[in-house]
Amino acid sequence: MEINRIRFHGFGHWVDQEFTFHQGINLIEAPNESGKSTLIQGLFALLYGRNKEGNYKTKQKAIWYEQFIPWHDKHVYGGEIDYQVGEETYRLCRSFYDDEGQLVKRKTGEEITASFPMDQKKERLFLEKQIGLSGEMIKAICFIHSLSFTEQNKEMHAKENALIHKLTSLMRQGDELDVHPALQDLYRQYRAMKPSSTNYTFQNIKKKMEQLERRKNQLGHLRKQIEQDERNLKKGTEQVDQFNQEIEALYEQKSQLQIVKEWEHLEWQKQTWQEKLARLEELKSRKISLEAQVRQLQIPATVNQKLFDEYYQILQKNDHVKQQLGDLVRQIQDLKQQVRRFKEENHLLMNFDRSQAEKMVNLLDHYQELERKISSGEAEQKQIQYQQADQDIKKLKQLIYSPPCLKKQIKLWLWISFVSGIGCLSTILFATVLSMVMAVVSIGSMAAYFFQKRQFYKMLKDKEQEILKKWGVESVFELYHLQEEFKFQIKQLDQEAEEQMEQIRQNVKQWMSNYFEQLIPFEPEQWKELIRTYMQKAKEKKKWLDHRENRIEYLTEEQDRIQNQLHEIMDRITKEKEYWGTVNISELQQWRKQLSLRQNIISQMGSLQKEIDRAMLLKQSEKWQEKLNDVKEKINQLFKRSKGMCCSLQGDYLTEPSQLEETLQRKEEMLLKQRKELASIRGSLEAKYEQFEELLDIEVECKKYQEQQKQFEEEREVLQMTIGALEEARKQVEEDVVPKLKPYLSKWVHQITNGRYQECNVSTDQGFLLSFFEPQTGKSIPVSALSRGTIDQMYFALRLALLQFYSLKTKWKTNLPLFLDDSFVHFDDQRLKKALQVLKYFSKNHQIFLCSCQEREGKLLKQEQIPFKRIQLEVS
Amino acid sequence: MKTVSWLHTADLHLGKPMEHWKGSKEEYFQRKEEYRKTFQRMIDLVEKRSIPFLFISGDFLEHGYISRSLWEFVQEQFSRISNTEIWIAPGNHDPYRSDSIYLKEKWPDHVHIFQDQWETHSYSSYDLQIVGRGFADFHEKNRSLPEVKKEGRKIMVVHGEFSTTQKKSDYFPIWEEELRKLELDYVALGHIHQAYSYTSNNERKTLIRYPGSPEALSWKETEERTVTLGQLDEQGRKIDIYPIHSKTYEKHVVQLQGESTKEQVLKQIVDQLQTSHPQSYHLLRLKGRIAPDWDFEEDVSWLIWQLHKLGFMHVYIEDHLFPDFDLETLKKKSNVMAKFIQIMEERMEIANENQKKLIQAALYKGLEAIHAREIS
Repeated sequence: MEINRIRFHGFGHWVDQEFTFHQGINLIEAPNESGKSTLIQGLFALLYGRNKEGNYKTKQKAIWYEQFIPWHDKHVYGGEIDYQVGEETYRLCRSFYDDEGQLVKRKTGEEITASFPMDQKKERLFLEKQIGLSGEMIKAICFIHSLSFTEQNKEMHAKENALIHKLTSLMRQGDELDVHPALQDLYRQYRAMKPSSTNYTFQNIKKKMEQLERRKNQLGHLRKQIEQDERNLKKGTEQVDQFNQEIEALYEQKSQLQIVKEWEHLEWQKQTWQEKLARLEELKSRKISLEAQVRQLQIPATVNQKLFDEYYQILQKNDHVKQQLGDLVRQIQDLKQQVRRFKEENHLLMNFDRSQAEKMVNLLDHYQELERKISSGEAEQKQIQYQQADQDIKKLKQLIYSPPCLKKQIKLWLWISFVSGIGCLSTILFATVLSMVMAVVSIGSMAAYFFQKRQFYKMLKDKEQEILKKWGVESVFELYHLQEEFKFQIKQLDQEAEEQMEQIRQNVKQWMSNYFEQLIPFEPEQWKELIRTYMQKAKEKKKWLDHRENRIEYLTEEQDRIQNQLHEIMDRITKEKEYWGTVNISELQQWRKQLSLRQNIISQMGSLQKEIDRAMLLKQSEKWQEKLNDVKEKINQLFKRSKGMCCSLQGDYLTEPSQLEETLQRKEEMLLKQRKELASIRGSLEAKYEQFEELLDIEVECKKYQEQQKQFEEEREVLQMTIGALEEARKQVEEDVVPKLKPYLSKWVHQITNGRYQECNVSTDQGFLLSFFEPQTGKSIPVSALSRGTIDQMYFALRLALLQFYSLKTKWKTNLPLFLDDSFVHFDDQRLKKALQVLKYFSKNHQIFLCSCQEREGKLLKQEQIPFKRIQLEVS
Repeated sequence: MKTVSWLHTADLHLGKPMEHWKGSKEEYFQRKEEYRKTFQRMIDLVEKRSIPFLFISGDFLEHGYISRSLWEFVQEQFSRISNTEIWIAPGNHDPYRSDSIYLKEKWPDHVHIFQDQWETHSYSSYDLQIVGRGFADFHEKNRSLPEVKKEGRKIMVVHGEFSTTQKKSDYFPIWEEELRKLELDYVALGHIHQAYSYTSNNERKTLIRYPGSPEALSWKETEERTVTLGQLDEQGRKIDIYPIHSKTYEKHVVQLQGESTKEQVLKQIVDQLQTSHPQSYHLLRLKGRIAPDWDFEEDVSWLIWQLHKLGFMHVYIEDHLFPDFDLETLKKKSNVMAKFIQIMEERMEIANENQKKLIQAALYKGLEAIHAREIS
C-alpha cells in the first residue's frame, strides 16, 4: 500500500492544504507544534473516517473529532486522500461534518462508493474491506511512537519492564493488546467470589439462607403444632359443651330431687301427725275395750290367792305322786320277771364251781411243764454233753499216745548244723577262718534246734490240760466216768414224764364233761382257754343277776316311801275339799287364769290411762291438729308449684343427693379444668398464629435469596468461563503467532545488532520467556538481561517483523506503510544510524513516514546516503 | 319466579406468598393488604346490590397459608352478607381435605362448600338447581359430570380445566362436548387466571365462564382484573364484567437504542409510560445495548426516583441490557480478542438456552475486563 497524496479541506489548522508522498522514506521534519501529529491524525482520519471504531456497536464519533474541527468553518471539515492498493489507485474523499465518504478509482474516475455497502452502523469501511485490517489494527501495527525507555529518570525501571512486557505481548499475540491485566482482574474477581468463609457476600447469602431455612422449618413445625392445637381446641370445646349439658342436667336433677325430698318430708310430717292422732284415739278405744273385758270376767270375789295357790299345788302334787307310785310298781314287776327268766336260762353257769376250774387249769399247766421237759429239755442237753465228752476223750488219747511230728523248719536248723559241722571239719585243714565260721554257724543252728523243740512239747502239754480243765476232771479216766453218768440220766427222764401227763389228761377231761356237751381234742392250751372263757362268762352272768336283784330291792324301798307320802297328801286333800268344794284341777285352773287376766287388764288399763294422759298433754302442747293442717296446706302448695311433677317423680329412682352433689362438683371441677386448658390452648394458639403470620412470607424471602445465590453462582461460573476462554484464546494465538513471527524477528535482530544477536528463542516452560542467541558466547540471553538500548532495538526489530507479518495477512498481501513519530528521539547516534540503515532496507517494500522534531535524522540519512524525500510542513 | 343474580369469582389465592414480588418488604405487606381489599370490595358489591348468590369457583384460600387473621377477616366479610347464599367449589390450591380450612373450621350456615362428589341443591323460589363439586386433593385427573334435571334453571360451580378439544389434564378436565349435553344456563369455572368465556352450541347456549383472578397474582396477569355478575330472568341470561382489582400490573419492554445518558433512558421510559396508569405496578424490562463502560446499575435508583416524582410510585426495573460491543470489529482489533470471541461463539452454537445466556455473559465479561484495562 502506498499513500500518494493528501489534501485537507479543513482539519485542525490544516485548511486547504495538500501534501504529496513518495515511495521509500518520507521525512517529515519539523519542530514541535508545527502540525506533524495533526498531519498523521488527518491521514488516518481520511483513510478510516471520523467514527469511533472497535468496541461499540452503535455509531460514536471518535475522540479526536472535536479536537480537529476547523475553527473558521466546520462545514469544510474533511479532505481527500490518494492511495494505491495492489495495482489500483484510489481517491477517497470524506466530509467529517456530515460523515460522508466517496471512493473513486483514479485511473478511470469511476466512483465505487456503492460497491461498499453500509454496515449496521452505516459505515462503508472502504479501506477495511480493501486490505482486511481495521483502522485500529493498522494504527497498532503501523504506528510506532517514541521509544522512551532510554530516558534516564526515576520511572525508567518501570518503563523498561513495561517495554519488556510489551515486547513479550507482541511476540506472544502478534499485537500489543495485553490481556494479562484483564485476566488478573478477572482472577481477582473470581477469587473474591470464592464461596469461602471470608467472602462476605457469599457468607451473607448463605447465612441468610440458613436462617430462612430454619425459619421455614419452624413454619412447618408451627403449622403442625397449630393443627394439633386446633384439634385439641375443637375436642376441648366439644368436651366443655358436653360438660355444660351434663351439669345442666345434673342441676335439673338436683332441683327435681329437692322437690321430691320436700314432698317426701311433708308427706312424712303429715303421716307423723296423723299417726300420733290415730294412736291417741286407739289408746282411748283400747281402754274402753279393757273395761268391758273386766266386767265380763266371772271369778269368786273372796278367793284368797295364797290359799288358792297352796290348794292348787297339793292337788297338783297328789296327781304327781300317784303317777310316781304307778311307775315304781311297774318297774319292780318288770325286773323280777327278768331275774326269773335269767335263772331259768343259765342254771349251769349259776352252779359253776370256780375253785375246781382253777385247779383244772393248774393241772394243765403242769402237763405243759412235763411236755416241755420231754420235747426240748434236759435229755437232749445231756445227750450233747455225752457226745462232747466222747470227742475230748479221743483228742486226749491222740495227744498222749501218738503226738504230732516236729515241724520241718525245726528240722532245717538240725540240717544246717549238720552241714556246717561237716563243712567245718572238711575245711579245718586248709581254710581255718572258713572252718571257724562254719563251726559258729553249726553251733548256732544246733542251739536254735533245741530251743524250738522244747517249745513244741510245752505247747502239747498245755492243750491236754485245757481239755481236762473244761470237764472239771484231772485225768482221762475221770472223763470216762462222767460220760457214763450222762448216759444214765438221759434214760430215766423220759419214762416218768409220760405217766404223769396221761393222769392229768384223764382228770381234766372228766371234770370238763360236766359243763361242755362236746369237747374239742385235747390240747392243753385250748382247754385252758376254754375253761377260762367259761369262768369269765359265769362271772359276768353272776354280776348281771346281782345288779337286778339290788335294783329290785331299792325300788321296793322307794315304793314304800312314796306310798307313805301319798297317804299324807290324801289326808290333806280330804280336809281342804270341804273348804273348796271341788278337787277338779282344770276348774281351779280356769279360776286362776281369769284372776290373772283381770289383774293384767287392770294393770294395762292403768298404763293406758297414763299414756292417754301423756298424749293428750303432747297434743295440746305440740298442736298436733294445727300442724297436720299446716302440712296439708304446704303439700297442696308444692303440688301446685311443681305442676304435679312431685307426685310423678319417685325418689328411689333419682340419684342420692350426696352422690348428685359429688357428681356435680366433680363435673364442675372438670369443666373448670377443661376451660383453663382451653384458655391455655387459645393463648398458645394466639401466640402461634402471630408467629405463623410472621413466618408465612418466609418462602418469598427464601426465593429471593435463592435467586441471589443462584445469581452469585452464575456470576462465578461466568467468571470461570471467561477466564478459561481467555486463557485458551491466548494460548491458541500464542501457538499460532510465535512460530510465524520468529523468522522475521530473527532477521531484523541480526541486522539491527550487527550480528551480535542472531536468533530469537521462545520458551514456555515457566511462563513465556523470550531470549536471543548470542553467537560470541554461544548463549541465549533472556530479554530481561539485555541492556536498555538493546531492548529498544529488539522492540524496533519486532515491530518491523510484525509489520511484515501483518502485511502478509492482508487481503492482497499489501505491504503496509510504517509511521515513525519521533520514534528515535532517545536513540544515540550510533543506534539511530543503525536503525536508519535498517529502514533503508525496509523501505524497499514499505513506504515509511519518518516524523522528527530534530534535524538529526535528516543529517544522518544524508550522511549514510540513504535515499529519502523531505516533506515540508508549511502552511500554504 | 324470582330473578336469579350472582357474583362469580375464582382464583383469589388469599394467603398465598407472593413469590413474584419485586418490591420492598413494606410494599409486600401493602400488596397483601390490597388482596384483602379486593375481596372486601367484592363483598361490598354483593351487599350493595343484594345479590342472592356468590359463587367462588376454587383456589379461594391458599392451602397451608391461612393465618388466623385471614380466616377472621373472611368470616367477618361473609357475615356482612348473611342473606347471600355462598357456594364454594374447592380447587387444587384449596382442596377439600381433612386438614383444609373447610373441614377444620365451622363455616356460617349461608356458606356452602362442595365436597368431592357432585352435589345438587335446589332453590324452588328461584326454580334453580346449583350443581357443583370440589377437589379432594391437589390433583384430579378423572373427568366426571353430574346428572341434572332437564327442567328449570341450572348453574354449575366447579374448578377445573375446560377444553373444547379432548385435552387431558391433572386439574379436573372438563370437555365441552360432554358439558353441552347437560343444557346448563351458566358454568362458573375457576382455575384459569385469565378471564374467558365460551358459549356452547346447544339449546340453552350454555355460557362457560372463567372470571379470571380478581387481583393479579403474577406479572403475567397484566390486564384489568374482574368479577363476573350474572342474571337469569324471564328475558334470559345477562352477564356483566365488573372490574374489581385494587391495582393492575403493567409490564413494559423498553428498547434502548444508542442512549448514552441516564436522562436519555428516562425519556425513553417516560415516553413508553405515557398511556399507563401511574397507580399500577410497573415492571420495566430494559433491553438493548449500552456503552460497555456505563455502570447502569448505579443509575437504576435515580431512574426510579425520577419516576416516583412523575407519580409512578410502584416501578421495578429489570436490567436486560448488554454492553455495546461490536464483535466483528473487535475480532479485527486483536488476535487474542478474535480468538476469545471465536471460542465463545463456537460454544454458544452447541449450547442450550441457559448455557447460551451464561456463555454470552462470559463473553461480555471478558470483553468488559479487556475494555476496562484499555481505558485505564
